[in-house]
Amino acid sequence: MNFVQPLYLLGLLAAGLPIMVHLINRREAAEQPFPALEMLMESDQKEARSIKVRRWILMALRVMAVLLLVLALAKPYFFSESATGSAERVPQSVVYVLDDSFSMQHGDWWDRAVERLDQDLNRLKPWDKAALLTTTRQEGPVGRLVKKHDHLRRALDDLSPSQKKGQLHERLLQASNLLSQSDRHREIVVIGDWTRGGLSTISETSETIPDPIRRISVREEGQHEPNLAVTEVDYREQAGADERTWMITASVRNYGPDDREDVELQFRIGGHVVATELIDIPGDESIQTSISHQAEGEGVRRGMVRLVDADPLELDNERHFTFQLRENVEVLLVNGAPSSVPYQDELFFTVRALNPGEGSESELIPTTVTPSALDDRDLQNFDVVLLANVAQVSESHADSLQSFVESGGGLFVSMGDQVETDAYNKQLGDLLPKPLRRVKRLAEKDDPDAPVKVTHIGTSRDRHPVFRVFDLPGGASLQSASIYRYTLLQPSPPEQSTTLLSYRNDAPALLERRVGKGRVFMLTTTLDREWTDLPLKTAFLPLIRRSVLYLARRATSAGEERHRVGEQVEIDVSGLIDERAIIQAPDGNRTILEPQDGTVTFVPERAGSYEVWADEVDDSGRNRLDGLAFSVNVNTDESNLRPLVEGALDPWRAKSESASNRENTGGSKVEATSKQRVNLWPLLLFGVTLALLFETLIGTRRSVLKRLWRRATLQSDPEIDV
Amino acid sequence: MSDMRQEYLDPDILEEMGNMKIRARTLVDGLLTGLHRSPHRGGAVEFAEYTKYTPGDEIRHIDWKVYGKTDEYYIKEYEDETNLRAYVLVDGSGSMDFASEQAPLTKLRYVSFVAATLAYLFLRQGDAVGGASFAESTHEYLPASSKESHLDDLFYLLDHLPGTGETNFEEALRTLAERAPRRSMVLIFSDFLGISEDEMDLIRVLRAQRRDVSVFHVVDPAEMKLPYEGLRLFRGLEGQDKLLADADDLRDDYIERMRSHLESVKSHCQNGDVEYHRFSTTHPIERICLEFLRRRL
Repeated sequence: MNFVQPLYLLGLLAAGLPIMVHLINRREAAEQPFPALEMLMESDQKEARSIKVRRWILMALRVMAVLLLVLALAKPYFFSESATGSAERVPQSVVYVLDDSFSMQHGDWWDRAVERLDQDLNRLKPWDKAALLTTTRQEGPVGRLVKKHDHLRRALDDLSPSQKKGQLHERLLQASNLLSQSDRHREIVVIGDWTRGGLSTISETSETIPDPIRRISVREEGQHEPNLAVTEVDYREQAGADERTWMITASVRNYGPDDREDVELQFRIGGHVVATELIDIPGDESIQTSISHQAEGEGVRRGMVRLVDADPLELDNERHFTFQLRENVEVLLVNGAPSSVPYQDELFFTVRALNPGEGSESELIPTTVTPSALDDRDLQNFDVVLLANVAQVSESHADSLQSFVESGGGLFVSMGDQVETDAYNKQLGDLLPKPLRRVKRLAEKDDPDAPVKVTHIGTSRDRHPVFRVFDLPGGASLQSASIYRYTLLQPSPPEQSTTLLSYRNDAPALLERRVGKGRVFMLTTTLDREWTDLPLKTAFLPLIRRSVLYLARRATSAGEERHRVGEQVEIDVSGLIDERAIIQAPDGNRTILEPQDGTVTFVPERAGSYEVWADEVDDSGRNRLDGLAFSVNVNTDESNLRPLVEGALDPWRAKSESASNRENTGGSKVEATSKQRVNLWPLLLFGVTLALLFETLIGTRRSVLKRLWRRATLQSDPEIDV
Repeated sequence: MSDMRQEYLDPDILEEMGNMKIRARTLVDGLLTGLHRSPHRGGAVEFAEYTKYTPGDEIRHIDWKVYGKTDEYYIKEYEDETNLRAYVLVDGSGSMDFASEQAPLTKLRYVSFVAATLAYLFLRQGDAVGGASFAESTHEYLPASSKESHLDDLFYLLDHLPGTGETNFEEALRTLAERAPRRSMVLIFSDFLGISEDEMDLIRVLRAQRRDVSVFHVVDPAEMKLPYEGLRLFRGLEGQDKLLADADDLRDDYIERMRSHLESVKSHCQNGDVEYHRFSTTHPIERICLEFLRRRL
């Protein structure tokens, strides 16, 4: 308790006044001679007890009146944040900010939050104004200050926690903005779980909130909630093989301090559990677990990684992903020496090796262009680009190829008469495994000594995926091919490239270089019969096919955009949808969007796999666009459920407010409270009035009271007749 | 009261008169005027009939007016030549020396006046009057006498009553019982505060011994109402302890006790065939005397 005028408390000494007056009255009572004193004494003896009690009550009332009056003059008051004792407090404007981020789905936290908010609403007086905001919604649900608190209650009944991450700072600014229009006593009440994850974006530079913020926590005091979350799922097609094997890697983080053992981790694809593992996760650490999955068919596959019964917060225990199974590998063949005579064409054998033509079931789809037509092609539509005896590439083409390879594309370069070594070294220097030097001629095709002069291909690197099948019967035909000419190479750093095949004179025949996410193969001889008879060998077909498959761009999650609940998703629908795109959410709800500049934007509300549909049916009779399917997951920043450290909001608050942090009881924390000042002096003055009233009633002469009573009851005064 | 003041003597004026004799005579004159007839009854010279003179009769008893009319000697015969002896017994204790604001006289002065008036009346008609006062320490006794000069002694006694100390009924009554002859009249003036049952019985004994006993019970108006307000230090008039009390707290109970006391005295008297007169000191003195006399007409 505090006092506005504490000096007045000295007046408490005046409490002795009634006692002194009483004693003085006794001493100075007028002496009255009276003959019938014996009778008076007898009466006094009879009435003594009641008289004494009455006198004590009177004395106590007088002392109390003096004490209360002095206390009232000192103007006592105390601070209270609960409105129970503050009936006379000034009208308030309160903005409630309810945390409805997905971490509130933990156990019964949401129910508690609703209950606390309802309790706080009951505290409000009818003249108080209130508004209700939530951390994940930009509007409302009660976005203006109203006196009808039932509006808030009804809105509260309709609320449920979202799957988004909360935006507390934005909401506090919004609340402050609402309060700035009010000239009443202002307060922001934030009800939530106050996890570290929920406020991971606090920074010193954030705009400060001028109004007092009262924190109400739904957590149990001092309790740490353990939580596991699947934070990431990566997938990639296994490299270098023609079987469709996918590596799926899940990252699981333990946000609690304690180690967790034997947690069941399920991998689901297409609604079926394809793998289950028991994992151990040390406290405060992440682990990665991978599985190999062999996928059949084609089209979109929806998968999910899920921790089974790991903790009360289910939402971050599962993570969705979507990947495409592709049937075809698109190969762009750039022909540097086309010929009208088919078998003399540079790519005659190659095209047929990749795809024999009509009726073929080959998944390799070659597209042949001349160097000059390369401008018309978007390399991103192809998985592999093959430069066959191309004289040179322009600078712009070289840049396109560079970015194509770096983003995962494959490049196959073969030599020939047309190749200009200097131009190659200059334009493609960053792609070629080794710089070109000159052409080495061993023999002409019509030279009778050719069999002696030519060289042959030596042993291959068996461990390389391309040559894994060459150990099989027939695989030795590779070594039987004769090489008349080949291109000599300049030395280069050994780590830059790998020689996969060499000639018998140890000159490199086939080299590999990794550039970015892609790979480059360089064959130092030709793909037609000009420099070698390799195309006539049985090994040519598997060599080309496996090389192209090896080089082909692979589906991988790397570089894919991660979509998160509550964050905008942009979908490029150019060329696919002209009028309206339909986004189907995991719960079946559909949203119809109109493309703007070939793009539709969409903010997902739920985690899961989304489908994109075109409003119109395409030529194939289908309007579901599997290629555009995507997955959305929760923002696992919220998964860190550790309690927020004291003073975490300080950077947001004005300095005067952050200095007045304090705790309240019952599991609710108040960081900056509105500390309602409750004045006690009106109550004390009321007490003085009561004390004086009772003093008057008890102290009034009994004769007067009795006379009044007799008048009221029509009785006559007692008299003695003489 | 104003009517009374017109009809009766103002006690204040009475108090200012020179001595008790003048006061008594003034009161008696007023009494007789109001009565319109002589109160002589049972007096010593009560006329009965005429009888013819015979030698031996006293010559002074011959009615010469009748002789002038009839030429015969007739002698006045008196039926009963009484020899009445009256005693006024006045309480001179401390409790009698009290006059409240409403009362013009103390109880003591008041009863003195009444006693003096009645004594004067008795003496005027030739009866013998004696007197006695009683208090704790002093006890005066004056034998009855019909001499004119005796009146001075009696009035002196009444003028110098002590007005202090406790009441001592017993001794006064015993003395009277011993000295007052039977068939005498006893007038007891007191407030009867502190009188015991035994003492009341003594009064009845006096009556039983064939004395004509009359009790004059005087009260002050304050004793009837306890009219005080606020905290008072009540002091007894007969040497009691003091009492600090608020009259408001005690009034009802006190009035009840006082009523009970008065009724008790009255019933004792009536039960003992004792004539009882109760009066307040605010009453006109003549009225008290008249009331007494009327009962005896």
